[in-house]
Amino acid sequence: MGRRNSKRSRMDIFAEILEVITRYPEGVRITRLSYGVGVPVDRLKTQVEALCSNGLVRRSTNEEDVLYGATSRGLEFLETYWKMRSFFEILGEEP
Amino acid sequence: MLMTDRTLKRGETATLGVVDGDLQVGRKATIKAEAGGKVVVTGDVIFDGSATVDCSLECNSVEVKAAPHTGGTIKVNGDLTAREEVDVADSLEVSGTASAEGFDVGGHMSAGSVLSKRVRVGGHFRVKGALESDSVDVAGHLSALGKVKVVDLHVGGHAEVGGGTISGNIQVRGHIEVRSRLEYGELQTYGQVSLAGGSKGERLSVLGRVKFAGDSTCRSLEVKGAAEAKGDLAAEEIDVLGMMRVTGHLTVSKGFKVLGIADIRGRVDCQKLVVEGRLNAEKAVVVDEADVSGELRTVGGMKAASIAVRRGAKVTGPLVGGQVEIGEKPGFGQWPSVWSEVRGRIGQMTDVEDVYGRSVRIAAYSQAKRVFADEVQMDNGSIAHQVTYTKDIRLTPQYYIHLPPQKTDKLPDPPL
Repeated sequence: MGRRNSKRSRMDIFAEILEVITRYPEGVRITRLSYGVGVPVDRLKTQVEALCSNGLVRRSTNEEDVLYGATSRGLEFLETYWKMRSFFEILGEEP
Repeated sequence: MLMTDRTLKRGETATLGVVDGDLQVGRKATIKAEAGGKVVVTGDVIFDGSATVDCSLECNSVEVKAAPHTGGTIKVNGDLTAREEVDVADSLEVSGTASAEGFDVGGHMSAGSVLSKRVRVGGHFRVKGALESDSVDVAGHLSALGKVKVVDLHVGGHAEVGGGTISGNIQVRGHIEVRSRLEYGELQTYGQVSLAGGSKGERLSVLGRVKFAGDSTCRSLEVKGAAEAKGDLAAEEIDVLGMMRVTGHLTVSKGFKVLGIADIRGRVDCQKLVVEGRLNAEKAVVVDEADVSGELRTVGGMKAASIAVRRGAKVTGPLVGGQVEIGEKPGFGQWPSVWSEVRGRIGQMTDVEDVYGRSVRIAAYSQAKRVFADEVQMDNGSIAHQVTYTKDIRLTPQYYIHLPPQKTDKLPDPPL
């Protein structure tokens, strides 16, 4: 996860959203997700929408809530993100 | 004083003793203790949003609701003890010990120490003292600077751990730094691992870098990035795909496979050695077979029951073995594919220095300095500076030996 004292890139935030979502296999509400990622709900909705429209996050509804879950493509993104960060660090580049 | 179900209004400050039933707490309320510094609730405590508990709290369970924009941080200035679950949508701060069957915190959690069966944190998780839990799952960073006793640990960000035991599966996406001795099960990370000296583990798989700060033991070590051990390193199996540097001795009770570059300042002891990349060592002692298709550099030499130096490989330092084959064609899948410097040697002469063996064969396109063996075979296109043997020499028409071969009764003692 990107260090909080440096500005998080859009990719860092996408990865953090997916990291939180994967902690909740039963699905997570946007409010709880916003506390985990540390982004206000209104801004987070835009990011989550981008992930949903690209097939990285799945939206489902139960009786009263909208819940978010990770797709296999989302998990693939997360793994690739961390692998790339690792390669950047090995090669002495800023991730 | 015993009270039945109780509700605290928004912003209210209440002094409580024992609540026989549930406690509903409005936003920004403050709870204080009557006497003994502890409030006991026999039922559940439900918070509508952020609140302060200015004492220790004991209850059946805790639930903290939080709507968007309102926040819901609960501060407990004392211990928090729940028989069942603690479910906090936002954040939880406990100055003392937090103990519950399970903690589920959406935002950040901090505590003096934590005792639980499972902990799930959406943000960062900070524990100053001891952390004891069967499973810890953190999406953000983990800082547990005291002693930990955990079975499974999953961290989405970075982790700092004081030391202790993590006996099961450890997955850390970012970096993990362990400040004192850790006993671990299977540790997998994409980032960097820094382990204190004396650490001992079952399996370590690192895509990035791993640093052992002192003598360490790991049953199975897979390094895809880089590994550095300050001191001695002992393992059952090691696969190095990237770079490895050990300042002490390396002991591998089974196989040691080098596909990248391994630099061992001391001695290497292993059961089986495969060098497809480059291995530098003070000396190497291999119980069974050594297979070199890359580059081996030793000062004191390498000893093995059998040695195969594949075509195009290069060996610096003496070789001592029972059966020694120099310039063998690589077996299936043994062409170096990872390390470009080795790949660049394909098509070049196989190059070794002094060879001591029972039976030594120098194959085509191979050269050795001095050969001391009971039986020697020199194939077409092979070169040696000097050959000394006790029993038999077989020469093909196109060999080349600088000095005439010498038969002797006794070979000189090998350097290993």
